[in-house]
Amino acid sequence: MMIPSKKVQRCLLAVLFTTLATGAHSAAAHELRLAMQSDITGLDPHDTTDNLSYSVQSAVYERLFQFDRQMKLVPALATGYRANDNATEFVIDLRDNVRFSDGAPFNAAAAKTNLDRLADQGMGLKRNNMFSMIDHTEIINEHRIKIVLKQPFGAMINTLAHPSAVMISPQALKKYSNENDLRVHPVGTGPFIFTGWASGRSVSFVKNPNYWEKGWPRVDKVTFYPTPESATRVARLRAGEVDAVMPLDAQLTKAIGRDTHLKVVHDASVLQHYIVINNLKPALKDVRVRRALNYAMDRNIWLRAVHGNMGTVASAPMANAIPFYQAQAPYAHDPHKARELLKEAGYPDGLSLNMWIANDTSSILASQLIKQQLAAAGVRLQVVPMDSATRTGMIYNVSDPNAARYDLVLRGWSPSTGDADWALRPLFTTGAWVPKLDNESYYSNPQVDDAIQGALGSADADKRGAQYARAQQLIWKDAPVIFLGNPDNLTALSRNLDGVYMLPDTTFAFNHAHFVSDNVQQ
Amino acid sequence: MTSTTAMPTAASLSSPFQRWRRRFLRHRVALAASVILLLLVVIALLAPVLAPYNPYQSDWLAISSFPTAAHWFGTDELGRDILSRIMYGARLSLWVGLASVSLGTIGGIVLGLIAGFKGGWLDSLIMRSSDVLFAFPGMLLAIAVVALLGPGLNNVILAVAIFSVPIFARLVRAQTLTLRHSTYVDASRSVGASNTTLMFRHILPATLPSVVVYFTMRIGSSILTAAGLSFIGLGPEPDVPEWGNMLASSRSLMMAGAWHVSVFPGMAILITVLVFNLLGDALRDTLDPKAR
Repeated sequence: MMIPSKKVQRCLLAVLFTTLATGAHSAAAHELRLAMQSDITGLDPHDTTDNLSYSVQSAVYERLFQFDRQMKLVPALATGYRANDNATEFVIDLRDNVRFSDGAPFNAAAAKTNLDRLADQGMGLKRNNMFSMIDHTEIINEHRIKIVLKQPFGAMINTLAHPSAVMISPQALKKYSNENDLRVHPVGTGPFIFTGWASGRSVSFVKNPNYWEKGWPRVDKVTFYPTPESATRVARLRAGEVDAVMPLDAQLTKAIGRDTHLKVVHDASVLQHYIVINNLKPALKDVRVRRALNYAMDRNIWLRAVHGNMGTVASAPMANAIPFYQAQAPYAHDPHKARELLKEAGYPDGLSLNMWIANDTSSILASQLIKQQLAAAGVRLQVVPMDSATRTGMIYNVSDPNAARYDLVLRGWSPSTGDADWALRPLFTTGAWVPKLDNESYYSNPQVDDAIQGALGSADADKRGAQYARAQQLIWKDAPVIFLGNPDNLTALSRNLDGVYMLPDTTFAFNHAHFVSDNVQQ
Repeated sequence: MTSTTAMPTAASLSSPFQRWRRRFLRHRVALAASVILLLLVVIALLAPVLAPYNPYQSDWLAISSFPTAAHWFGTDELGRDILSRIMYGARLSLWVGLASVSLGTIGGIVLGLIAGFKGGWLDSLIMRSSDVLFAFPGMLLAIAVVALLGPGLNNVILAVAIFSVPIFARLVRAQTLTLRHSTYVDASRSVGASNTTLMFRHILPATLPSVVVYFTMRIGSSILTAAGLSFIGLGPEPDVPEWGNMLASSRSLMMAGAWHVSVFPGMAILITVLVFNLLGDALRDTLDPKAR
């Protein structure tokens, strides 16, 4: 065999290394691939209710205000605001030199179009109800608007920071006036441009070359892969098929820890886990039964077995990181007391209930534990797993509340406005019964309604605090749900990936995603 | 048609059953498989006595612990004793296997006999329907049936039974076609035996050796299918100690390095299916006169 000369050998080696190096770099540095636990439900944030979809939508869409990693309010498409004393008028300054990816300018008119769309209760969008307090929006000049409210609303700026309050291109709103078109043609000001959604397989985006924030984004493409099975998500990460996994099941942290190419990112969460109790069912109308269910649960065991002991157990109807949180006397695990309460309520032989759960790994594990714990108090549980779209449909498409078929539903709620109002009002007020908002328990206590409404009517922190304290106390006593707790948010990433994390409300951020090799280059 | 009549020898004077039993007892694999099967049946029947723990009871101080003296096979993600769960699981798996294949066999035999004996449009109808069912891979058909009926152990049994029917129908029909015109059937017919008598008293017993062989082998594969359905969440509720369920819930832990949560239920499925397959092979060897 002829051996090539040394010079030729060197050249060949150089070519080989260059190819390998650039090849590896282009694969690693320019495409971000994420595995997530389910598919998105659509791409119009105004008509979305789930955090996973909001997160994916944030590739394209931005809001006036948003939250940082500590759930602190920060400006995004707005640069600042002023409110009047009784919280009925908000003047907002808008960022200059921002364009939608279809070329339309982002200005006061565009912001007004979007706020009008959100506030118009006749639109039939899932998040209209959240903005019903807006009376109208005025254009003050090209980059300044004034939002005028019907009544005082202390949590307005937090509500504008909710992931549904995004700015959609007015041109796109005109072009795709049918909601079915708009939900698959998102056009916003965000760091990425939508390229396609293969239902159940992937959602993909490319870099927006005209993005307003200088130097970002630093990845050329982002693709999301719905992967419901948590071990499969991690397997894909370990095989290098994806760069990040959201969320990571606590049981799998060990699997990541053993791999030197991967890392676990760990953040406190405001997501409250709970079990909806259908308060309209004859047996569950009785507060003694609902309290019995709360006494039957050992929350510490739940946190340890399902969430690797990372997080906190519930001590109020909302997470302790939410402003105005107030700790309540705990429902200590006491199966004996639970049995006694059931006996008092007329169920000496216990009772049989069904519980709807999502069919993901962590819910299935939690459901087995819950079944076991309730059984110790004499409650026989039939667990019904279903995929999240079916479950949401079956819960929300019920016109007669008495026709709802569930007794219990394993759920989580994270107040994405970072405020007590959105932590309590959608779940516990009478006006929030599904499908209007998210009170799946059909819980109703006029005193709670008054307290929550009272807190909204004031911008004074002390007054709001007192009302929320009262609301939490009443809700805790009435036990309209089985309170569980707030497990930490866990994600797993390739070791060289930075800028991808979960916010306390469980939405995830990736607009500042970059691979560490980028830093070396720059 | 020719027939030969041999002089009776000492060996052939014994009954066919005795001859089969002698052959079976000489078959070492058959014996070993039978002993293990017997053991499985005993474990299944006596699970409440033999199992060291309640299969639903959690030991919260030993969540996913490796095998120890207290928990021979370790514990699962909720601290439940894996050995006890496997013992109770044997009941479910054997019951699912036996019940589903029995249902499928009965359905298949009746349809096969009718198709083979009656012929004509009835034969075409039954066999073409079987062909349609054959066109689906077994697992896919079972998934479709469970998706229609809803998850649960009884529906899994029904699903597996339905996809076993055409296999037995085809087998019995083929035999019936051959036997329909055999001398002894013709003889019975000539003395006025009814069709039902011919089908069920004369033809059916002659098809049984092949049915028994297939029956045994099918139990193994139906246990596997049932475990598969449970694994993908279409079986009984997640806390039921069904082997497929146990494997499904242990996936995450296995990845985190806890091998015992999946190895033991996996071994249980492997051994059970293997035993039924070996037994089926042995029965075929000993029942089939041509294989002698």
